[in-house]
Amino acid sequence: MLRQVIKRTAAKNISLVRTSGYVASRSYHVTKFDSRLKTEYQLLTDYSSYKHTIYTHRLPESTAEQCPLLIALHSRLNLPKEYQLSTLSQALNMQQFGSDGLANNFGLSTLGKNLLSYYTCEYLVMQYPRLPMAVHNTAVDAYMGKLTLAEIGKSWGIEVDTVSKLQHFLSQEPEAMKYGRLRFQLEEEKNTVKEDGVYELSQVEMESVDTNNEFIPKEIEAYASAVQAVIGGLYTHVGENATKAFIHDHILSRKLPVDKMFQFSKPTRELVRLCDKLGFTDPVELRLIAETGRLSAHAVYVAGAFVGKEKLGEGVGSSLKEAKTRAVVNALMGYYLYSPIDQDGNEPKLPSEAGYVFEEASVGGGDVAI
Amino acid sequence: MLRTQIRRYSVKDIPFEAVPRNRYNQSRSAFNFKPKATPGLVHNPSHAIFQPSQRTPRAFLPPSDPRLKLKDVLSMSREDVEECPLIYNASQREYDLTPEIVSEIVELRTQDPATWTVGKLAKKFGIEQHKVNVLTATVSKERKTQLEGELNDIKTKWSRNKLKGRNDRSKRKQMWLRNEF
Repeated sequence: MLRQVIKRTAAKNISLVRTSGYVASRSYHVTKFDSRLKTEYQLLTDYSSYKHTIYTHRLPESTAEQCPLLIALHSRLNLPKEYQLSTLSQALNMQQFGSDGLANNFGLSTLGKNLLSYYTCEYLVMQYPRLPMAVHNTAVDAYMGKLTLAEIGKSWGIEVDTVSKLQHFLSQEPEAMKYGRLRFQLEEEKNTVKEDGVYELSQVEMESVDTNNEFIPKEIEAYASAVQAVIGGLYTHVGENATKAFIHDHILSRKLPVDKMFQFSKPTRELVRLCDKLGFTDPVELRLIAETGRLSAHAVYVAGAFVGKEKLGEGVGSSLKEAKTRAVVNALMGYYLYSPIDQDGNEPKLPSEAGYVFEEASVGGGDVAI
Repeated sequence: MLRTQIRRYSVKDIPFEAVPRNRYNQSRSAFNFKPKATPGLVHNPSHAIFQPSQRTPRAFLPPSDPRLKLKDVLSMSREDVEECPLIYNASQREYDLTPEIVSEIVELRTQDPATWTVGKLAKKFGIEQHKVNVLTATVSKERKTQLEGELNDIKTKWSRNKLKGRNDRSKRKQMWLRNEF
């Protein structure tokens, strides 16, 4: 499948040579021509004469006020009064240079994404300063990955605009209704008959299949970008503090089982190396604390990982090996899942909060090489 | 029929008993424990093993952490620890392998992996088998693929139950490494 994808893009690049101009796209190395920008030029080689003649405008506030979906979403999210309904409508528009000429959410969602990644990272690093890189990345993805954001968007009650122009006309729906829906489908896609559970990839979607052969549907992407854009819009209207509070309420308040994201490969070796690194004077010892029914079919062993008289972890198992491995894994997770508290026993202050002191913050020691 | 019968039956006719009467006397029994609350603050730890996310071991707390000032109720005395039999001791790590011995092992294994098996090399140089394994892991990829092929041939002869048992065993091992039960 991947080979097909590569072939297609290559073929497209060749055909591009004959068209009138190039526009640097978001990806690094490939220049793609985008006819929707309506680029005009005087001379092909004179790049300074290149001009996009596309005209975009924002939805008038008076039109947005006529859309009940927008008003409902605005009050459901408890957005401040300064947050304009037209911005909310723009946040739901993912169509690039659509036929209606309305501004899309690309800028807003980029802004929202940056704010999200900053506050998520800040929170995680302060909460769990010792997380290994892989676990940290997974945790960030679980907080603000596309699938999670799409799920949040659905729970906010954002609807997808699947009503075609004909259906719109026949059902005598008010014009403003569509401005409150998530718009990402092209007009011709809306008319195609959909079978439940069967998904045919379009040409554009085939190109978005990545090297792991993973595919995120357009709908998920649209939902995620809408959520990011709503956050970006909040920043533009009411500033940073309200946005931070919004992110903490909607994204970081979700329960994240970080302790279920670990998978060790050589735990004993890792623990011994870790204790070497921490410079303990006593060696790591694994000891059998209790056992019962060694000669029975269901023996139970309790093993503990010790440094001197300090117990690092404890594990139960039906074999000595299991108990030992579980004790070591328990000890390692005890180290990695350390969460700092301040002198009064409260959560430490975040760098973006007033009264944050760098010297009081806990800094992780980095990963251990096995 | 039944409904009218029930309706006619008065509730007052049924004898009331708050506690069923039988030979066991609830108020005078020796098993009649009454909970007696201890006054003041009580430390009542969970009976299960501590989840790592609930409590960081004292040894892993940074020196500035206020939890170090709390009373250490959970750690054992050194005598108690030493009474527990040892399973693994990191201080027994040996560093007696010299570069010459290592190069000799690697050379023998590269020349003739069929005769110089891991077991034979371990016996010749008086070291553990897993050390030989680690040293010669990368030298003979052909031999490795050959052995894997042989193992797959053996696996095809396994019965369905045996295959299932082995698969389950490896899955259980992965669960140990994820701290799952």
